[in-house]
Amino acid sequence: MANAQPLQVNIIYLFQENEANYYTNPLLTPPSNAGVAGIELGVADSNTTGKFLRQQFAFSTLKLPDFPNDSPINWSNYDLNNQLLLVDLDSAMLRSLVRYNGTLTQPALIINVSNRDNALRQEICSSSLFHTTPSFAQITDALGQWLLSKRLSNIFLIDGDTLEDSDWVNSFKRTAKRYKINITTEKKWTFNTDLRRTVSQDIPLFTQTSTPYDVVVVADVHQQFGQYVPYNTFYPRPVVGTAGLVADTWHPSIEQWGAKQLQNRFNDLHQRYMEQADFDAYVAVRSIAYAVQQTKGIDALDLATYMRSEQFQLAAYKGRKLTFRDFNGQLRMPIELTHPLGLVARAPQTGFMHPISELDTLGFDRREVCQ
Amino acid sequence: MSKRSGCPHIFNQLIKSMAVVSVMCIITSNVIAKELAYVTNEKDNSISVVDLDDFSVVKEISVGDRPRGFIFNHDQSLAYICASDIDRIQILDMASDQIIGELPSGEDPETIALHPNGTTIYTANEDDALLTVIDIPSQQVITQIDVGVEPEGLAVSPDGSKMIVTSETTNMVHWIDTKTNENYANSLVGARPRAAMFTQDNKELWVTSEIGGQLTVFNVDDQSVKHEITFTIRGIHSDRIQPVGIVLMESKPLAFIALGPSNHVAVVNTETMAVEKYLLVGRRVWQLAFNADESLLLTTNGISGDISVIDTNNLKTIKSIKVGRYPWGVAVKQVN
Repeated sequence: MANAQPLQVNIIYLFQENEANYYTNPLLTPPSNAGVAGIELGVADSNTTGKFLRQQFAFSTLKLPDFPNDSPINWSNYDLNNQLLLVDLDSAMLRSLVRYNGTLTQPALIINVSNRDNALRQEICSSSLFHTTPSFAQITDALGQWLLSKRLSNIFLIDGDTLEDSDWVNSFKRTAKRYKINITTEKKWTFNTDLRRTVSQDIPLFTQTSTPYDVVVVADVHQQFGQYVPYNTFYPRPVVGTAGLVADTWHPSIEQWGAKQLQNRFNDLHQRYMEQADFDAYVAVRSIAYAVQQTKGIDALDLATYMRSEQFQLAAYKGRKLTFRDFNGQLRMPIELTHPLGLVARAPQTGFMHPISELDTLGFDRREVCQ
Repeated sequence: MSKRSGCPHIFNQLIKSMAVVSVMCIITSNVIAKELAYVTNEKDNSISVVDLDDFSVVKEISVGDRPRGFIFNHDQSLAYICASDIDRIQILDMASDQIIGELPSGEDPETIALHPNGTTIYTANEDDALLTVIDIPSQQVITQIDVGVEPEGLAVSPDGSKMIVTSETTNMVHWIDTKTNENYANSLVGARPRAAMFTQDNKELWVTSEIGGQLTVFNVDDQSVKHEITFTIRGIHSDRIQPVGIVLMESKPLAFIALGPSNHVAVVNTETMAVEKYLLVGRRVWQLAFNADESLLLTTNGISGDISVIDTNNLKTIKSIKVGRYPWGVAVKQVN
């Protein structure tokens, strides 16, 4: 025992640089280590555990070179056999990685930590792909449950008109159909004015309708204008979506279910608050670590099989165990509804039932996947 | 100890409920001394003191920030309180209700346990993955022992030879020799282990796993698993059945297990390991304590901000008492 080498567990964070083609409000610029900071804490926590089990965790980063759109990446330049990958990639790149991975004799374990595209959950059913970040569908269903619980069923919807916004809007429309919420007005945001100066004139005009709505839903994933909508709507109504009341996996104000300890450890390590990108990546590392702890090995296929099994049970400061959906690798999880300084509610809301798990009232169910 | 019967007094308080009154007379006629329950309120930075004769809150004592673990010394003249957010163990003088001193605790002490020798105290430092061993007379830290992430549950064997700490995020039970302060074994258990408790004969160790939903009973001699049980409550999803606090009765072969957000306490027969009953209590029940003769069991219910009182003879919840916000630890003191 004393001579045994520790089991070395190497995790690779694979990412591409996303040059933003839009203006970012400096108040909303994400920290430069968003996501990676969560990986660092996850590795540190796993090593504290690992020292009792002779398991040593480490991570390295791998940045994909920039490509012009027409030249596809040559994945065979990278040794991906049996690797443990956390990926932060756009949908096209992620699809090409999963396709290549399928041709390997020892496919890598791939955990998507940042991409919320619904199609990735519905169309890819590789048993090696997991998502610890929620789909847009989980997010919009969480909002839909809150709207229903507050009996707000008459929606004014603002579409930010980028590619990601239209994914978000489509997801919200699916939610609206599920929960019989009426989108009575839908408008695309086409302004190019500087709203910091004219917000109190432009927003009321934009949101004026002949009959009142119950609530304004904003789809503005890149936060170009949504933050100016609350308190300026033509009718004084709540604002939800990507501004106002937002649905996400994490928030600095969360402290229940042991979350305070996680927040403290994160703050000690990084001198800032933990945000959703950090949490989604943290949970990915903890998922691998738990599977390694239980299977006592680092074979990517064995780990993937274990993670999709019923034996997998992750404690992740959410008040109940988290598991992966065996049909698409999506992590089941409660979604937090917050305003900028505090927690408002948590989905699934009481009363939303499901035969397997209430968490499956959020996002895609088995019959909606890979049909 | 002065003898007194609580019945006439109870009668005045609960005159509207004849059934409860008859139960109360049976219970309190066995009680020879007045008993006070001390409950730490995690969010109110205070202790609520509850008179177990009439179940009224008789006073509130201000203590350090985020009080959680709470225990008495052997003669109940002092109490030790984990004031987590000010990184201290405070010493409360029970006669004057004043904080009369502090013990060095390391950062974020959550739970404490007293060695049978009465002079060694153990605390789990949740943020630093450490177990701190403190000598009370000299107020010195004897040593700090590396344990897993978020150490929580502590238990010292009644013979004083071993102590246990569970770590929530490491999913492990750490076994420590109290003579050498060495971690001599580690056992993996279900996700997020919370409480640990030795049986009086030192032969078994009981451990709850909150997220795993299990109760594991170890043979202390070789750390082998003797029993592993799970809980099922009709109408409540298994994810919400989260075992936390454990108490083992000395006078009867019964154990009581708090089941967190299922809002129930399980009654386990320790001879057959069968669950005999589930008792409904307040919301998110986590810690448990008996009174001296074990006729009453008190539960702290974090979310509903109250404690429930269980009559252990009839296995019925008979009362809930509003205390401060997020009641956490509980212990019962005899008052002459």
